Amino acid sequence: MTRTIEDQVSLELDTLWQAALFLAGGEPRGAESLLVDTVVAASEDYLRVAMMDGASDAVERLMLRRFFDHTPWLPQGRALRGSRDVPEDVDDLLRSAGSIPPRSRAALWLVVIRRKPYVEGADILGIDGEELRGLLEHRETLMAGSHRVVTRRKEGSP
Amino acid sequence: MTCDEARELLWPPERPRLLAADVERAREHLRTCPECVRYLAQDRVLLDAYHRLRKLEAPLEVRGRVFDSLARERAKPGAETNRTKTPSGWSVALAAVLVVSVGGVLWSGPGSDEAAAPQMAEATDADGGTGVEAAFVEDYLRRAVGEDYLESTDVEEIVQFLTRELGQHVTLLRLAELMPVRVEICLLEGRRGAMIVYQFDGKRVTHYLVPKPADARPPSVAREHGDLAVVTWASGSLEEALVGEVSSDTLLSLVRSGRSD
Repeated sequence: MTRTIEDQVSLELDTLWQAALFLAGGEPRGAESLLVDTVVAASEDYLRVAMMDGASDAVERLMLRRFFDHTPWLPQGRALRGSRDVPEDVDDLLRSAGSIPPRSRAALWLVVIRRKPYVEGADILGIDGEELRGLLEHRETLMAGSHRVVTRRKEGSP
Repeated sequence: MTCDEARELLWPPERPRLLAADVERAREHLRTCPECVRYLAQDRVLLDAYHRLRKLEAPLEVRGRVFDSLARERAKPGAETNRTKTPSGWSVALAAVLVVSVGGVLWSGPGSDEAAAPQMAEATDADGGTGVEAAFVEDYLRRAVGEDYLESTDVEEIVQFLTRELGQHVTLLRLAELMPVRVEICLLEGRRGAMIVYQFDGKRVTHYLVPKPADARPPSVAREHGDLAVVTWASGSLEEALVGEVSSDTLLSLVRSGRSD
């Protein structure tokens, strides 16, 4: 049976929030705005979502594609640093993402963070492999934030 | 093989893959390319970061605002047409009224139609409209999310569609003056059913079919709701209703004449 949009959003909500935070460079207000806009768009564009029925990441794909095609203006909000919701080391990663051009951010989320094969990542974003590879060149910037994640984790280890 | 090609072929490295010739060549490249070795080693750091990130849960207040926005969007007048791209507001209203007016009849079991309709009416009146709104919103939400549909006047095609979707053979009302124009899968009270929209004398009447074990029950007028009339009946495996903005006598006559059993 076709999954309702509410079911689909419930299923994906945590991942959607993580993706939105990443795309918004760690800004919670921007992330929420992106998340809400995507969910509303998904409800309007149910046929497209329904066609992806069975894919556990249908709304996430929609979010990435919308962000990639029309990078929205995202409101800036209270930084997450120190928030009980986001560990400080993860916030480093999100902030690193914020310093990367938006289209590269979307590509990096899909391929480097979400571990999609290149072909699938390119398909979701509607681009060819060559363009995807170019966008992924910002991986080094993300690496810097990731190193801080690991370093902090080691420091915090017993 | 270039570094880019090798990395693409072996991405993501933790995922098992068939040992095809190009994969073997990529692995061979990796064994002799320090840059690619470094690249994939760095990736472990990113993988670790991802594992940390994926533990984040959406805060409760964000969850609340997401679902509030979804509900508000659905409640916008005219939004339903955009969402489903096909059913008219009329059919939504019809479905809603059907839920309110016939829901009790459909779901309270065979032989209970006479008792159920008054119960529904009482509940609606007692709520001062709240029950009606709730039923309306409930059905609206279900129907707006994109159930399967078919637009066709071909009876055989419609029967095939319904048989496939409902898992049992379905018989349409067969009358020259009833022209099927659209079939839609719907959810009523959590059950998957179908509605067939017919053109009749310049108006539309809708035939609801919901698979549900039931004793056979002949067609009878369930209730009239303003200009809207509802006739219900049951076979051994289907609860059915015909709803339309025509007189109940006309509906009853259509059902009696159109049924082939």
